[in-house]
Amino acid sequence: MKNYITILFLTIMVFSCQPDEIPPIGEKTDYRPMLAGTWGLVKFEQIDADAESKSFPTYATVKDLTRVFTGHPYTDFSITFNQDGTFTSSQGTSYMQMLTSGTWALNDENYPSAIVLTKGTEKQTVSLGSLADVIVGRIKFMEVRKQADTGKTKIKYIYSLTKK
Amino acid sequence: MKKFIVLIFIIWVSFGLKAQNALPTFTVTPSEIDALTENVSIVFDVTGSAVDGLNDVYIWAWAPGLTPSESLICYEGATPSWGSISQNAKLEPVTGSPKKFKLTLPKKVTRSGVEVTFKNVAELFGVGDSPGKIKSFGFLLRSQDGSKQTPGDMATSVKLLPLEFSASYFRTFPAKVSSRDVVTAYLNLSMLESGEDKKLLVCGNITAGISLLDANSVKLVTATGLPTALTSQGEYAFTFLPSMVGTYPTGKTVGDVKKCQIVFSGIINKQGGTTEVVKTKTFEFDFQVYQ
Repeated sequence: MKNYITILFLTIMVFSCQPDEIPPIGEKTDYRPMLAGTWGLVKFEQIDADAESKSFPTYATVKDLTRVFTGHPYTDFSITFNQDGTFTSSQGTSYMQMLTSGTWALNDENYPSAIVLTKGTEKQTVSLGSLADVIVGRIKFMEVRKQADTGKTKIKYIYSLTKK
Repeated sequence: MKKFIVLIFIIWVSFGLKAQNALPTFTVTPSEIDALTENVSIVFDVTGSAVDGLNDVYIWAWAPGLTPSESLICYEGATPSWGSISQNAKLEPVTGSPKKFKLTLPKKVTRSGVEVTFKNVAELFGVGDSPGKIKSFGFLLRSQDGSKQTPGDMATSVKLLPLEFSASYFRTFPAKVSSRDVVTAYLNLSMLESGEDKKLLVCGNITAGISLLDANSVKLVTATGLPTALTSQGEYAFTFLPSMVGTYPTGKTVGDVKKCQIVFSGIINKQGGTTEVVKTKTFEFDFQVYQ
């Protein structure tokens, strides 16, 4: 009788094991509302990609250009992404070259890697260096120069912005 | 009349000789290589050069600072000999272009009875284990017996991208830039080159002068007296954007700029209240075309 109860107990235990249902990971991240707002440039860096790949010393690899031009700090630059899909940018006294107004869109709503700015027939694609910190009000834009015949990246520009 | 004909003949002969003395042109692919870059092709156009008309063209290449300095394809054994160039130095003809020849890497050869593959420029010069030793190489093109040759003395040379950073008298950051980029030029007076005025070492108020030139070496924009800043590495630096250096002539834009010339100058205060301006040589570099 005791053995019968033990077998019955084990059978119940085994059959009661069911695979757990994997809970939903979460809603897809919608970056648009996070990007909406005014962003000010806090740092502008230039990287020599060749030097970086060869681990040259930092002073021969990266240059901070934020305030390199006296009277023309890149920190003057700001850009506002509006919820309605329009944007305005202000270069201030900086030599920043970006469309001053128009519409903005993500190149991919699910996995964005760039913001596309449009003004009439003009289009400017701003690569997103990182969206990891957008939720805490930090974002990086990236611009690269590539060698025409090899497609190899030669120079990188990193624009770090914070939300105002 | 006779003298006139003789004069014309002399001029004609002179031009003929000059034409046969032209430097060969060449194209390196990819356009920028370092000592370890593989899959390199160098195409030589011998039109008008001393080897124009030859079916078999050989390359004699050497790298300053190496011992021996000659490329391993130029000789067999351990010692280079101008008089007995290796068959490995014979350039490949370019199909359909009788005046063009090429050298491609990797290059498989039999050298001193052993099959060898040179994958890159470092291996071509026998420094595959220490590629940082080679920074550039010069070459001339010649006939097998050496009776015909293009000019030597680094008249034609290939500069390699550095593998290791080393301080230099002049550099730009980034090392290679396009005319759309922010450019920083550095002068390191602790690396003062021979031939430069040693007074530069005691100068104050170091400033820079810059000229931007088009493809025909015509100066489009010039600016002088640009202030420099002394960096923590002891270099004098100044940064510029080619588009902001000055006002371009009508019809010209920064897109026409192909070259840059930079001269640094300093001031020495002399007794009696006079000053002396001391200048460096002119540093010149080409702008790259980037996407």
